[in-house]
Amino acid sequence: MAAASNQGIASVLGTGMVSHLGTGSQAHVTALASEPPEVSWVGAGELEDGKRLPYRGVAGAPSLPDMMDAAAEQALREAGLVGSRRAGMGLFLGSSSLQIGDCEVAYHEARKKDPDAVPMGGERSGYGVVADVLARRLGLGGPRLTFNTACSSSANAALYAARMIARGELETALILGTESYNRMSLLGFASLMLISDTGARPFDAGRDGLVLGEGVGALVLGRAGAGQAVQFHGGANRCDTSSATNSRPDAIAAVMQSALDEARIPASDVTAIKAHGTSTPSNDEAEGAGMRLTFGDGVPPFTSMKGHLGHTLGACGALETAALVSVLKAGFLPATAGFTEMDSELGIEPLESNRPAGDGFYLLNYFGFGGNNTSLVLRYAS
Amino acid sequence: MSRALPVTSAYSLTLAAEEAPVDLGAWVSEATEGQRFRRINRFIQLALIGAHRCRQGDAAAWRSTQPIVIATGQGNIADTTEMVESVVGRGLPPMPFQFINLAGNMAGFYLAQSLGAESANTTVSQLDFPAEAALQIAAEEHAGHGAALLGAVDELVWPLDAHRRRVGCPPDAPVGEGSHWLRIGDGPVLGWIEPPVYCADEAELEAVLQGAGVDVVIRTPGQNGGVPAHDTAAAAHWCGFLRNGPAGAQMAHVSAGADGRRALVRVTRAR
Repeated sequence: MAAASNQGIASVLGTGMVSHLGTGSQAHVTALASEPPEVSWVGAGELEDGKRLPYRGVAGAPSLPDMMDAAAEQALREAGLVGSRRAGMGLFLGSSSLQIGDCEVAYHEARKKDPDAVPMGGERSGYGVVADVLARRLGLGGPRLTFNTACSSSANAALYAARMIARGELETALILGTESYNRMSLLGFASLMLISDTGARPFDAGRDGLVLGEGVGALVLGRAGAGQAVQFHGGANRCDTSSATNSRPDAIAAVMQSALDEARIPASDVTAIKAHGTSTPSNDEAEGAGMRLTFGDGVPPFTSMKGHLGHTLGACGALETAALVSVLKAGFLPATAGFTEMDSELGIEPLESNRPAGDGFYLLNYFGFGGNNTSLVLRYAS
Repeated sequence: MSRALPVTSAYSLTLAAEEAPVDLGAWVSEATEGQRFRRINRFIQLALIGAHRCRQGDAAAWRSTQPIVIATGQGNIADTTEMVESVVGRGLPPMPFQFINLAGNMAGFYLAQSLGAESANTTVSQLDFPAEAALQIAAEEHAGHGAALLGAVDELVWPLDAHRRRVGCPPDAPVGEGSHWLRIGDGPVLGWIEPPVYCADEAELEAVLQGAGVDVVIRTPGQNGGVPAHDTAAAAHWCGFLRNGPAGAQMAHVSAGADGRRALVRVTRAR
């Protein structure tokens, strides 16, 4: 294996975040350094006994466009991209549910006026609408691509943007991961019996499911260059065809190894891992076993952010990457909120307390339904 | 030709709207040589038919490591619409398999499973230019892996009036569904396709086309040539020219966006 270059394939020039933890980098650094706030509980009358489900919603329930604008402007401002400097910029949006929450509300309202109203029948729709509207609003003149690969959506968006920048096809790109509250996702995960009754506890012996959340993460990527603190060094996406909803450990190990190969670093060079860590029994078991296959007895320190942020589905790729960049700049890796007891079946445990973070390579995992597994490699150099 | 991607197989299926959906079960079984699929939806069926037919056109060059890139404008719109009706209109939670099949990449999952591929697997879109978006990503995969399977799939959902509004078609315009596939990589070629060039408006497009030496320009919407409207119809024209265009000729396909943007894709038929 050739030695990794100090220069990556693309640099992270700016980040933006809107989530249950607040708005902006500082809010996320502060919250991730602390115990997570209480979850909200959402009524779901369709479920037996009128059960209520935990949810990490954004305070004030802003609209999806408002969340996107806020996160995007944070990232663009930090990157210093204003006015005409955005003209050739590409938009790479990743989401699992896109504007479905808005469609639910519109249909609910339409039915009040017309009992024969048709769902999603009022105006132009499609996977590309959200990105197109945002790109026009922000004055982004490049391609406006929307990736829809379930929970790895915005991680894949970032990966392809980084590669296109590395090949010189783009100067800069805005990557956006979006997820806003919708009943379909909440009830769908409930019907799969994947939602926790007790709160997210990634990698914990007593974990019993995930807590969904909403939010938007933004990354501005640009050409890699000397002296830039955070750089993408590579990544990989692979399809595990064994199950539509669960991954095999060897498939997870394979995607991590492919990402390391693209970054041209050995596993021993990984400083820490930002795990996918959903807190479902099956994901954490497979991811833990996959890490052991890849790293043997030398599994690096790892953490999951979903105890704080909730599982923001297609947004988590950009949101958790942006959050990781923020905490690295602040000098620490956050503890895995909710984890208290090691699962002897896994044989490894995530960070129980915040830990100082230094320069090095960081591996980030994102896994989605449909066996869509993605790993990214970032290098942080203070 | 700069960055021209070699195309070794092309297959295009277009179905004009009928009063009700045509049952695709037998077509799936025939295309996949008898493979059985449980609980798949129409969008996945369309993808399976097209991808397997494309593979059969180039079975010798098939590699399980080649990435799969699927373009769609509306995705699995029929199931999504039904689910919104169920959750909001009838107050019923989704059935587990119906919910799983809503994930935008489930067609890619079933394709990969049935083709024995564990490669990269992406579903991508872009308003007005979804097929062009996938072509751009397929070009990236070709640069990295030397091959890619590119598909463009869109389904209809009845009633058609509402569907026409969703896809931005005038009332009574012929609409349809399609599954169009290209295998990009090494082997005997049908021709070449170039990644899209985007133009801000018609004037910029004309400047690009001037002196470009293309033999024929096809524009959609406008010159649909019997292809019923669907978001990924551009790929039907690419496939058609690669299979049936004059030997050695070059086509410029232009898709028009609602905001005036244009996407230009050049396709050259092998001699």
